[in-house]
Amino acid sequence: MGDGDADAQLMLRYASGDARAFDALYANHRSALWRFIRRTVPDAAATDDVFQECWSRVIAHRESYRPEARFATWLYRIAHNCCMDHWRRSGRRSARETADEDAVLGAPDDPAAEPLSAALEGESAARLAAALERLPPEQRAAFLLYVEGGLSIAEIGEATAVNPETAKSRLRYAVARLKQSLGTEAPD
Amino acid sequence: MDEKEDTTPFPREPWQKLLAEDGDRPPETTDARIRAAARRDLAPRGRRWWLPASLVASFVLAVFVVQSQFGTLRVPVMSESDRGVGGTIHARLVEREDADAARPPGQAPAAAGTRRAKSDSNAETDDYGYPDAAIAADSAGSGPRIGGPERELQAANEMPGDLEPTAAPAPVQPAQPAAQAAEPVLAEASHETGREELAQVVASAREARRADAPQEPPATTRIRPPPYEKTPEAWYAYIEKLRAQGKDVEADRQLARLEKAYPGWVERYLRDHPRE
Repeated sequence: MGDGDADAQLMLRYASGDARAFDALYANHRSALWRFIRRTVPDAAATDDVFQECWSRVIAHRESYRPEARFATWLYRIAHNCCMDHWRRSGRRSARETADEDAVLGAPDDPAAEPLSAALEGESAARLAAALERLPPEQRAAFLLYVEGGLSIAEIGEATAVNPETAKSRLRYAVARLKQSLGTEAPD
Repeated sequence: MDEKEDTTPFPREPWQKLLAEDGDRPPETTDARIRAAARRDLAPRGRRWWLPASLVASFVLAVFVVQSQFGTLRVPVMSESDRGVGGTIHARLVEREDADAARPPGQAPAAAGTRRAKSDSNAETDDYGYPDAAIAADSAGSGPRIGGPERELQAANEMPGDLEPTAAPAPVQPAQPAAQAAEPVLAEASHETGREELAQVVASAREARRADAPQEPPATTRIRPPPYEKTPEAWYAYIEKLRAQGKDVEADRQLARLEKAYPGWVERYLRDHPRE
């Protein structure tokens, strides 16, 4: 991930008409942003649409961009909004989205009960992906914004329109549950 | 909440490494599409001048095509209501300016008129007696588009008898001044074709004029001065003929017009050619 100030400068250069600045900016964030959207919107076909929609908004709003915050914060806020718009359009709300976070956290998953997890057992990345898929969307978004987007607690709260305490709580619950799912394979 | 927990409650790198292991990344086509969109969105900014420039170029091209097709956009066109005395006088005044400019000092306007008539007679003509200049103007679209028979009929209508001294004056109807003009021309042709053929031609010309008479004239047409107005001598001879026919009112009106068009010419002419 590129440095925040450097990315902001690239964005300003692109806004002034430098197409190569956009290439550099895109190269810095394409993989992490793709993974963020891929984990947030598990539908593989929709991932591509949301990804393109996110960059289309970046392109369309380049002239109104002001480097008041880090570019990554601005970019992932757009990405988070695109994911929420996708959920609203598709009308697909996960049952877990409305469930109580603490209740979900209090009922540890049984890996053997999850067919996908069972099939992917032994592969850390796949198990992490499966564990992420089982997280409530708010916790998953907080975790991905922190890890993939590099956002701080305050920036996560700003991107998801909640206060920093709530953002920090979601992040803590998400990590606890992922560690519980991964067991000894979970990073420290 | 302390400062460190606000920024990095736990290290990101191990999780990032684990998430990146699956090698999931956007397809190449998506990359190309987004980069192309970024460039496409920049491109119109530099090409915004193309639209007004192309509109101006189209307008200039249209004007050029119209000018090349019709010769000029400023063809002197006069409506039918302008065909009065004023319109004719204006046309004559323009010709007088040209004649005055071409006339040597001290020479009478009649000489210039004679010169013009001579130069007109020297010009090459087509089968119907029309000069090349008139044909060229016709083909360029600045003159009325008429063919050979129409020209013949037009000549019969326009040619007055007073310009043909050898023509025998034919009896005319007072209400048909145009008929007076055609008959002497046809009478000249009778020297070659005989009296009987001439009578037939005259009859057919009259029929043609009667057929044309009820038709409405075009809304706009070009002014062509009567032939007798080409020179003051011809004009004056035409007036004399009118008087001989007893048309004093028309003769006085034509004399007034001649005075307006050539001020002082009648007086000089009568002084130089006293009546016997």
